[in-house]
Amino acid sequence: MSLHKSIGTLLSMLLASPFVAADTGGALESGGYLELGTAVYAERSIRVRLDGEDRRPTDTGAGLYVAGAWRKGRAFVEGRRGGVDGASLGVTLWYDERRTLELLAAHLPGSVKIGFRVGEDDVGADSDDRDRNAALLGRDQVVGTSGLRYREYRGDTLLQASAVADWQHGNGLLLGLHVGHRWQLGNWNLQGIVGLQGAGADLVDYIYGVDEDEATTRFAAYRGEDTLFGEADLKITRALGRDWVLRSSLLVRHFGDGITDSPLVAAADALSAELGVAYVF
Amino acid sequence: MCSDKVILALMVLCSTVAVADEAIRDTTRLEARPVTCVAVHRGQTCFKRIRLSWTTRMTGRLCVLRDGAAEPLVCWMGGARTDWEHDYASADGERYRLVVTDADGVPLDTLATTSVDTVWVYRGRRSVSGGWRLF
Repeated sequence: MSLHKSIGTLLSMLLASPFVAADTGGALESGGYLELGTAVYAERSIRVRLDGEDRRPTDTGAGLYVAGAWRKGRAFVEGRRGGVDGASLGVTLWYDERRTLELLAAHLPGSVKIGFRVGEDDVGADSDDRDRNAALLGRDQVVGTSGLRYREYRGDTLLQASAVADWQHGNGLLLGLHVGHRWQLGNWNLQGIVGLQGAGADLVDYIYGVDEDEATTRFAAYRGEDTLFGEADLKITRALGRDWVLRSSLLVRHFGDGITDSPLVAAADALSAELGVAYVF
Repeated sequence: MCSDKVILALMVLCSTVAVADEAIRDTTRLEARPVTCVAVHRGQTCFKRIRLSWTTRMTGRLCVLRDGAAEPLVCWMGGARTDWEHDYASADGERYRLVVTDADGVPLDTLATTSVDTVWVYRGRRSVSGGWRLF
């Protein structure tokens, strides 16, 4: 088993962890929780399919759901599978009653998946076109980043600004602005998030670019450009018992030209939905 | 002077009738189902339809009161009623009392009590500036 991300979901998941369990506020309380469960999901990728010009069909399945957060003083670790959140190891640099500034020492944007690595990344130049096309569309890439995250709490509204840099591959930048709000309708909890992100050319190129030596008859060389993309996420949770929660989420993203112009991409909008049950430790 | 004694005697008689003896109190039961209401995040109000039921041999005017509420949840005479459905909505919990009252609804004696508590799935974490919970 290995942690990996597929290229198609990676940038669609790139997000500087806007609302992952930074339960800091006016005082830092040590402790945390772990959530384990199962979820069914449906994902509509922006990537082109290998055997045609259309986008890939909707991917559906069931999987393990893991989420957790733990804090000790100013240090914290947090993460969850799926949705817009990533995984982070960080330190709270400064805080007051309703604001926090955090250093994300190590941050994996997007959704960490647990599965078997397919290992198609390293297809040589002498491979045939189909193998090289498959490698371009199926390569696994992980982006490790570091940066800063600022949050401001206004009642049930949360504002966030973030800036992280990819220190693994070319130091591409990822900037984000997000607003979240939550509602309680009876025992149902709703949390809506809208955001705008800007990915630097180096980062886009790393994920959706096609180098000259990677180009094929079908996929011409492409150099990624600075790109904006918007996203909206709706999460719904409800208690099923003292330690059980029902959770669902719907995430929509719209990508800019720097990404959609890539020959690897067939659509501008990505969609993912998830429904699951989790036990909270 | 004589009339004062009569009034005093009537007051004593009335209070004796209204206050349950130990035998009645021991056999009186007030129950709530369920006894907990589970919300997602700490500090949130939990909503649940609660069934309150009771058994008692007490006669007279009885009521179920919710602590802190100005009005009784329900009142009846004698054995005319044995349960009541209540829409619970609390972040802290509620305590209920089965009481005997006078004709004006003034509680004279508590026969039994029960309570319902709110618990939260994410109960170990502090509320953030108004209660943001991120999972």
